[in-house]
Amino acid sequence: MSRISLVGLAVTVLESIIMPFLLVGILRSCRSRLQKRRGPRVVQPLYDFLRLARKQTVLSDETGPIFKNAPVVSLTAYGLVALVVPWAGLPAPISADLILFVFLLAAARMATGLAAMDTSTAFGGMGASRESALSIFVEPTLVLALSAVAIYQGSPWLNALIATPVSTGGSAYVLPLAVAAIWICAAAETARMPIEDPVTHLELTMIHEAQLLEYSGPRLALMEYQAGLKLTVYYGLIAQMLINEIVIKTPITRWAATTTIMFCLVVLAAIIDTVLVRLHWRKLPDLLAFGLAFSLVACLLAALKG
Amino acid sequence: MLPSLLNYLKSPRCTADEIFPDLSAANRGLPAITSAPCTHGEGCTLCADGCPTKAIELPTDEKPEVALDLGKCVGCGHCMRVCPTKTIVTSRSTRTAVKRREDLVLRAGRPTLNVDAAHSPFKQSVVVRYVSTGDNATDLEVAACTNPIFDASRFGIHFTASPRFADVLLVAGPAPLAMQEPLCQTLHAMGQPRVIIAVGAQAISGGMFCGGYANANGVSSVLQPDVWVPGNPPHPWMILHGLLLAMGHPLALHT
Amino acid sequence: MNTQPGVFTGALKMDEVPIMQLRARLKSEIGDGNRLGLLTAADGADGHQLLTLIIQTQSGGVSLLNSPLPHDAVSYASLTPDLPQAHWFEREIADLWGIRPVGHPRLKSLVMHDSYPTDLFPLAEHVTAATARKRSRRAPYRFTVVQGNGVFEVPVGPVHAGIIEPGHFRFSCLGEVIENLEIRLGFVHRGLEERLTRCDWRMMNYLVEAASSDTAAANATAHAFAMENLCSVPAAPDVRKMRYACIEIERAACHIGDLVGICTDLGFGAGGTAFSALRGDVLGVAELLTGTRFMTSVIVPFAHKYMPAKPLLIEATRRLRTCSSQLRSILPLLLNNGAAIERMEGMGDIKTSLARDFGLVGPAGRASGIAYDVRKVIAQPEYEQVEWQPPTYFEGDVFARTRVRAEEAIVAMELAADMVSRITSSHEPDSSPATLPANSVGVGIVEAWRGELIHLVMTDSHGRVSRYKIKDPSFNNWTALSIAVRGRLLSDFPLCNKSFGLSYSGTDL
Ligand code: SF4
Ligand code: SF4
Repeated sequence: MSRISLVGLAVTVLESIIMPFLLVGILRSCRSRLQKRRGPRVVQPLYDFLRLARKQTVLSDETGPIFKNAPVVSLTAYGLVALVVPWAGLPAPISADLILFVFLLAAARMATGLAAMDTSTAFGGMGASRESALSIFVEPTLVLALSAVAIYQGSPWLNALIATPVSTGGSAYVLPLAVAAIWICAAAETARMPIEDPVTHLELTMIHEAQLLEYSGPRLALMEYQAGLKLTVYYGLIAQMLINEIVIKTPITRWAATTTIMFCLVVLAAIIDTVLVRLHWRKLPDLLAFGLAFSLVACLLAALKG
Repeated sequence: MLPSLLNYLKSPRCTADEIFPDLSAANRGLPAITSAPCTHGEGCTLCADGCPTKAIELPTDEKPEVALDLGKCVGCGHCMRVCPTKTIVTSRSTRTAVKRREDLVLRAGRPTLNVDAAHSPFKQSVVVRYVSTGDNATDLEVAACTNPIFDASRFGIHFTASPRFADVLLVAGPAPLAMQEPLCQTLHAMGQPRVIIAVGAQAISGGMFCGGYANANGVSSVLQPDVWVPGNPPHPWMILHGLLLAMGHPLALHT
Repeated sequence: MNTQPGVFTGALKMDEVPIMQLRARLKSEIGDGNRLGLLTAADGADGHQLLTLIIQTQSGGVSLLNSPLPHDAVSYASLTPDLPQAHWFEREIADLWGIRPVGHPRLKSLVMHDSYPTDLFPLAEHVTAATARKRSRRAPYRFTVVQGNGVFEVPVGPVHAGIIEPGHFRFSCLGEVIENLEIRLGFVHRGLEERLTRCDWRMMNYLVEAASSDTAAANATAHAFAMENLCSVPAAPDVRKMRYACIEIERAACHIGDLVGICTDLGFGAGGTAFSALRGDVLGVAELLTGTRFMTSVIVPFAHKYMPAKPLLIEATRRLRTCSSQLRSILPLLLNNGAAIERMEGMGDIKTSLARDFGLVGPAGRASGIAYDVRKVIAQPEYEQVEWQPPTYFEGDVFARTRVRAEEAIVAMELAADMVSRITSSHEPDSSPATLPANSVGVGIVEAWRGELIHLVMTDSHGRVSRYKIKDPSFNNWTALSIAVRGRLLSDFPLCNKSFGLSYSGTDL
């Protein structure tokens, strides 16, 4: 392994531990400020994690082994995701193609969904069913959007994302369209407005969080950390595509640009969380279909020019 | 809509800067006992006669001081108005929560605050499960704690939908018979370590409901609260004081 | 005899209607113009009796019918088949007295849970050996089961996710669609009516304020009017102005509070902040005028405690006017917001005919085309100084309810400002009598923020309060909520629920 990739590995691992807490902390803090509050400190998510890690686990009699082990399974999946996607602006330690990425996300989703059903509570089942309904749109959108990028970049390997595009004649609209599509996927996957209200207390309206209602203690801490990690990877991925529009050469500047863009995206998410009204459940397919359409057009444009 | 939204975005921050300010001068506050001697010996019974919840115990030969139980007091303001000797006066302090039930019983010269900076696992972060048992004004005041003015989130306090997530069980209302089992179930769904807070006179003693067939005699008939917040309903600052006290937060401890 | 509570006109008398004729009488009387105010039971000299309060919504008159049950009888023919409005009243009577309405379509317990002894009928005092034998034990509660392929149940509560009161909702769903919602209340039944007959009548006001403590001012006012009606002692004009001002401030604060709730349920953070800041200001005015944010312990029968001095009144008037113009300026955030309107329009609608059948009151009724408003029906000079109309819509959906409540909040602050500015004296003498008159009855009716609130007080031959009944506005409206969400999605429920904004403790008492 070369020195560059060793440093890359170290930075990626370090960042995937710190960034989830930091990004979620900044997001909440910004949202609070937009709501005219003082709001929690930026490090609050870390304190929350530590408190949960020390807390006793309560299991109801109905829960089985799937429920108990799912957090580790999905953590493994997201951990791998963080290692195969060059989200930090550095080459990913493990090189993989886009299909593996989408597969890992699906595996994690399945683990969480099965665990929710394993609780045999109405809310768990409801959350799992809603999450899988959303994934019907999210998965193809993600595959198509990433394919568009792959065609544009000339390689299905995710690490090619951070290389300079080879097909220089590619349409300038491919990346923006793919970014828009992936942004919508990210909103659906990370429980953001206008798809899901991240601060709601109401089980009846929850999608993602309804699956977690039975978790407690360290397992809940893991689940919350994963949610942050997912957000980090998605925003990092979007950052890579945005950077490719402006072509940055050295690894250091690329890393710095990635980090900056991720912070900006989080602020944008906080603004959206504050000013938008949550969409009706029946209207969600409309929004998600936009994402699908964007990714399709991106694919076509990339294929035509390529 | 856009102009209003822009106006909104331009408006200043709502959150109050001062922590635990005294209640406004217009507020009736809660009674406090001073060391001024009471003239009960000369036949005065004014305060106890008008107290709707019999919260005031007049001096006897064994106990020569007036005792006022804030846990029963519904804050009607009667005793503070009528007391001719200023033995009972108004206190507008919002640091009213205590950790022992007996500390709510006010006597002359007794400090109401117990300042033990015990080790607490929740100093920086705490999740609250709220259970209302029939006092919806307190519901509104608890909800107000989370609004932008009082903003509980800045202290790391978060309210949750699931008892499994929770560290604090915050209970309001007199806990009538039909709510006693749900209360216990909620507590048992919470992992250790956990803290129980009784908020409001109704939760502490049943308030005016005490003694009926519905057993609405307060939370302590089923649970053992760790923190008590007097008031009917308590002001959001008082509720926050109870929460911070349960967290072992330094802001709640210093006087 | 007809009389007008609220406006003093002398002692209220009861009309005796034999129980056999009650059903026919109500069927003919209730409908156009008249509504069922309340239906309850009491103990007479010779057994139980049913009490029916009818309100003439045109003339503002009130009549009270008294129907004694035959000696030792503990059942009668149910009124619900002809009069759907009676269905919860009859369930409540069955719970608290053990009097069975024979032929009631869905008789199950309402407020007495299975945790109580099944033979405890707490308000039935007239118990002879014969009635005790005849009274059947209360049956355990059974939820209605919806059968069919793919139907599943989602139980919610009694402890809810939000910071609200407890109650149990059982949804029977097909996928995300609600086929049936059964609302199980009674969790916060605190035995209030029994407590009221046990405590000193001078202390009753503290207890009624806790009936539904977010409606303290309206409950205290209805209580004060009921007691004054009972004793035939009118309240002084300034006292009345102050009481009504408190009710209007309470209305504004609570409606704005529920607008916060609606914004929260829409996931609209900006709106939530804007409205909750304003609600804080309105509560500040309440604090200024009465010494507490919930205006407790100041509204008492025969007087007003702690009447504020003139400078405070002027300051309160000014602040109320500011608040009302502020509300006007931030309302477009919610009411002109396309995405918010899309969520609210057509959601959870209640048709006018249904609203009439179930006797909906308050903003929920007015959003469904029922213009009934106690403030307009029962003439009250305090309300006639300002030109105003209760907002009425016909759509009956969440959007209509939201608009009604927003507009009412604005009007309420203007009315309150007007009333407060007209108060002249800062001291009103206490005109309480030494004792209560024997064998009398008094009624107080006010428009609380949720709608028509009725207090009924009766004394026995010793002048003791023998029966006290509170009819909270929510009591009329719960059924509408369960109908409004049928065919809607599970995730729509919180928004529908918030737009009704009902009280659990007021219903359970
Ligand atoms: S203020 Fe409290 S202690 Fe004093 S009379 Fe009123 S209820 Fe009793
Ligand atoms: S009113 Fe004052 S002086 Fe009189 S008994 Fe009470 S405390 Fe003593």
